[in-house]
Amino acid sequence: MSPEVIPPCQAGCPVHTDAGRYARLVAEGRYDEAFDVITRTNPFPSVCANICQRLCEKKCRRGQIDAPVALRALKRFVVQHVGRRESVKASESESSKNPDTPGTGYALTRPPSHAPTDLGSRSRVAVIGAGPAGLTAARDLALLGHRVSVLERLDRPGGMLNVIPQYRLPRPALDADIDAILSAGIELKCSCEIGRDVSLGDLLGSAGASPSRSFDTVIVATGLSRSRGTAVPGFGAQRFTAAIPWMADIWLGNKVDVGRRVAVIGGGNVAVDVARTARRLGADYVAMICLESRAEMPADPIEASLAEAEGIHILPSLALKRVFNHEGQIAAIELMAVPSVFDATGRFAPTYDPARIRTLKVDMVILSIGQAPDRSWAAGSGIRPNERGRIVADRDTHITSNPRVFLAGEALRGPGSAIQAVADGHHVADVVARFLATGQVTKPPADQAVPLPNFPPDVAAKLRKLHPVATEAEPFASSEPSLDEAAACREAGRCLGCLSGAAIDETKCAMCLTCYRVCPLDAIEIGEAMKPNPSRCQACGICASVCPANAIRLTTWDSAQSGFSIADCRLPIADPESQIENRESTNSVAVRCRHAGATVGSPDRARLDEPAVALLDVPCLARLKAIDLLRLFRQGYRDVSLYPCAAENCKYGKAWENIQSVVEFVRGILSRSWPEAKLDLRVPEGAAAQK
Amino acid sequence: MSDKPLVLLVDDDPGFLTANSLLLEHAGFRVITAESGRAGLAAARANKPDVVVLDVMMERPDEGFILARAIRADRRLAGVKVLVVTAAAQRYQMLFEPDELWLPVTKVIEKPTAGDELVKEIANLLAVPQNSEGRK
Repeated sequence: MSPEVIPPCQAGCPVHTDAGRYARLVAEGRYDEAFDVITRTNPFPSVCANICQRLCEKKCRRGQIDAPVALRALKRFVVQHVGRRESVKASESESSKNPDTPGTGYALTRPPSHAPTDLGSRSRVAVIGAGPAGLTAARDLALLGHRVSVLERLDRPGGMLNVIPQYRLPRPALDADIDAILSAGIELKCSCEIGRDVSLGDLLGSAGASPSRSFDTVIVATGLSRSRGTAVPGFGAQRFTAAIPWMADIWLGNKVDVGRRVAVIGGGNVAVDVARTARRLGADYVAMICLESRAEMPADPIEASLAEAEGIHILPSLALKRVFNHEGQIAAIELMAVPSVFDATGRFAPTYDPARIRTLKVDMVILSIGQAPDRSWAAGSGIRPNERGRIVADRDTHITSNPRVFLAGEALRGPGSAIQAVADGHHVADVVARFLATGQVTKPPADQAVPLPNFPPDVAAKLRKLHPVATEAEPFASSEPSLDEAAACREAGRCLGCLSGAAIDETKCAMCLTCYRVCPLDAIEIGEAMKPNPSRCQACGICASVCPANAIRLTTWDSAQSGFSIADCRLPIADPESQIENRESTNSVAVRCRHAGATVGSPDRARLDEPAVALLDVPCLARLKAIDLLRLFRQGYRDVSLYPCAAENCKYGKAWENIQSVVEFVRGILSRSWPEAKLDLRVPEGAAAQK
Repeated sequence: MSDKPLVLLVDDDPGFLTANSLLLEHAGFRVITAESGRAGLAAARANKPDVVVLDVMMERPDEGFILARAIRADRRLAGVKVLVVTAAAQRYQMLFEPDELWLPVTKVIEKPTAGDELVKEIANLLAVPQNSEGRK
């Protein structure tokens, strides 16, 4: 069986969020359905709407033309829009009790509509660690009907998500997601440290433990909660500290010490968070010192550029060589050059040049050079670390040396993003669910989906010409503003709908090569039959409109089914009754460009949803001839509205001029033949220039 | 000369030195001790122990780190295995692991060590051939 091909944005997301689908739903103003798509595989929608590393955007094929669709910003729009509306509803119903009840502004993930599976004999599962991996696994297993308890060392759930500063991850966003997850019926026990308050042996029901407190299985998802240190000369002065304890003091509300001139050692996202936080706490000068070059820095480019905009100095290709102390206080640091960080095979192998040094006057050093797992949970459990002190587990099945203990998340995989931890939470839950059902530890089936390939360079070049305003710099390169509704709909409309394309019925195809000749993107290939190449085809519909054998249909986004389906996109309109979506008997018809979804204004969108208006989607209004429109009037329609796409979305250049000239010509005929008939050309939202 | 492996313990805590000397001797090791980094380096050079077990925070907060680098820089002590036993991880809330640049040692473990853990760690170190140490 050939592997399933999926859009690259979906393939790039560790939990395969169908980003193109929620973008399309946003474009159509269907925000609740967009929210459901987002939460189908991700129980942390509000968290990811703020801090996700945008792996989907990095794969977005629109990025080959101008800039990727701002999918994270769209996600944030959806969770906030839906959340605000839910808050209003809640406050209206609660207004008599407490009129000041504030909303969080973030939507709660709804549990799936189906009831949890009744397993008959429910199993008890303990999850150690309430971070994204642990909570995801807990939710999945609870929804399968297991009794799940989450044990958290800290006084609140969220794990390392708590360490992310509020300006980047607002507390209400994290709370909304966690509240929704726990509502699946999960027991949460905070301030419970394994090894101190309870042992792993107790959880597993070893001799002496109460059977009522024991669990069938334990999932360990304790993350990377410890900062790595360095034994650099001069180590140990006051204000020589590490990122995690320093940031933890902030969110725990403890007194936090900050210097006037702060050096943050590290180039990752945590280092950026530390640097920006130090600035907010009053440091006059903050420098980030990292081994990597500016281009190699592991931090998200958006975060790094925001840090620079706040006055933080990024000093790349440098390593800490020495700390100069005076009477126990840091006076300065010496840095040495790092000519390279990776060897020829891409392995991390930094080289140093101690002769090229630089001295920096600072009074505080905060290390952010990586994190490591806390392995204290394993003490006395019989689970032995390897010779390097690391707890090992099978990377496919998560199983440790204890057959009832599974390791997951960063504690197993090493450093990663929150969404990667969520993906691993799903993975371990799958393994554990199978184990509880069968008693066997089995590897889940491998992911067979493959991404649609990038555009070939010639297609990308042609598409650049077809998108008139597509030459500006990446709009979200330096910041990511929140989108209002109109901006979100416009941005969502930039999605190219990957996987939409022509489908040729071989039984009808006469091999006349017409499609081959007219395709502007050379997407039709000649074989034993004519065959569209999905990596080139953009579902423009030109081939379908000219095929004399009527053998070509288009796979396009179908809003009725919230997915891709085969649609009839024939042009010209030869047989309106068979092509028009049948609703009620009506004399009104709306003819809409397939690419107009995002730019149809709100009043017009409401009109299109009226049952009394028949809808006809066509690949391109500019390709309509006068005869096509006149056929509609001859068919009995007397109120015809045309909905073109906006100029910036138009794939065919002079579409607007063509439409206008056809409309004027048809109106002239109508005035003589059917004076009562109305032909209306609607102007897309935000496209006044088209007038 | 005895066949028993020689262990040098370096720590500014006399209680740690006494207790662990007894444990190690009972386990079949010969033990010598030093209470500072400077004395530890001198003892290492004079006795060429098989294993040096050293603390980090002594008179200076990084005294053990300095001693570890000095031992590794001395070619005559090339075969000596170095085990760091420290409370610096808790004090500074940082995790330390061997690294070629600043902490060229065989292994780092955190205080407090339980029961015969130190004996086992030393035995494990001596069982590893010289050219296959777990240093990064």
